[in-house]
Amino acid sequence: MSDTYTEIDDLLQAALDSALPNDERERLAQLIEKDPSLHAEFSAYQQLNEQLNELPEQEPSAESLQATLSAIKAIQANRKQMAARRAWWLDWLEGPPLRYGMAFLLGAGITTGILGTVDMKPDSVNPVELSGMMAPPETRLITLHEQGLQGRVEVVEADGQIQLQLQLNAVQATQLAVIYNPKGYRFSGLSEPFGEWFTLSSSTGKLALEVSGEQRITLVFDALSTGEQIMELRYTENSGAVKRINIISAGEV
Amino acid sequence: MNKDNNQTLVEAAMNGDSRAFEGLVRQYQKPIYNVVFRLLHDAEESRDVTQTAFIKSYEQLDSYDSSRKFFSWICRIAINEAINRQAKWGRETGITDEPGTDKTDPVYDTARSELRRDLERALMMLKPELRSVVVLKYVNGMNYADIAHTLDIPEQTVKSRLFDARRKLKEQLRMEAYL
Repeated sequence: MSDTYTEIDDLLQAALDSALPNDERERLAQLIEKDPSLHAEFSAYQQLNEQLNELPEQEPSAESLQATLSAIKAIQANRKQMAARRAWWLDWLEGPPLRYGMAFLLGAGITTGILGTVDMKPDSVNPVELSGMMAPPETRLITLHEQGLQGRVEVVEADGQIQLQLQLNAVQATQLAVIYNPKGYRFSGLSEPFGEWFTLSSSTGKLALEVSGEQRITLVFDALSTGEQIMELRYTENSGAVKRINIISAGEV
Repeated sequence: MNKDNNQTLVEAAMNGDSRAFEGLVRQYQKPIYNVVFRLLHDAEESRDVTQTAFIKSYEQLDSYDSSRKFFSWICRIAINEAINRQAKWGRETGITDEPGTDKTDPVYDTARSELRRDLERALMMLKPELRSVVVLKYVNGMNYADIAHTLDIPEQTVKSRLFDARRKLKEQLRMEAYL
């Protein structure tokens, strides 16, 4: 058979799809009669068709659905807060003439600041690099006051396994999502003050937590492999800004 | 397969109804995951790509043309994401036993599973543009028009790619003495 898509191919395809009109079916039968090898071709395609149709359906896990919904909720919450803030400013600017005057006088000085706040670009990346080898017991502090998070990364040995622990004080965060390299870590965590351990599927590599007020979250990553490990934290501040932090541990953990 | 029977949900989501979009996620997560899984054959990556596709579609909902099928639109985002991801990782995907394989099925037998595994391997050897067409046709049961719409290619190109893909699959399976 040729490498280009021919009229015969079109006929065979329609026949495979059971979408061949009667007159075309007759035509195909005539072609097969002329060239019996076509029949073998068609039979092979039919078998292939059956196999392809029998490919089993895959079922995504319930956790992955939940993770997706949580991520969408975080974006929704962020948008609502941003809209509310914009509305407040517009309302304020539409107030008495005095406000126009004030806005005009202050405009030159603070426009950049106001716009910078209102239109704060979500997902600003603030990488925290933890370079080099960390061996247990070792602790490195991560200072993220300006992002509303304080925390530390600790490498410990527990039950014969090396664990990378990340402890965060989500002082201003309302939503926190942790995205990590699933190939390298097994994941469990402790959310305080609830004190409930949660275990996550190592397959999704994602976690979304709802937090409120001051809350300490300890995430434990069992370092199952070596090499570069990357954790990405996304969180929504009370202000509505969504931010992202990459914590990169280069080298063996 | 009627995947767009809930256009109301789409319209509500576009009008800012947050619960409506959640409804869309629930409705389309499985078919999108299936497409992505057949493209990547890696459960972890497929879950990640599926989630990314939904997040991207939510963020870009304003750019969705409501005269077109929502499933086709999100499917295209997912396929592009999967192809990019695979190109980025630049790795061959190993075919292993998959979660969806029902080994408790009494009709399940070794020969059948070997054939299926070889077919999946052959599928993964196809170029992404050919594999995408096969996946949309056989995994999602789309017709040529919908596939063309989803991949933004002419219907005739869909047919020729599908035939080309089937020819390559057939040759591969023939080499394995299945056909």
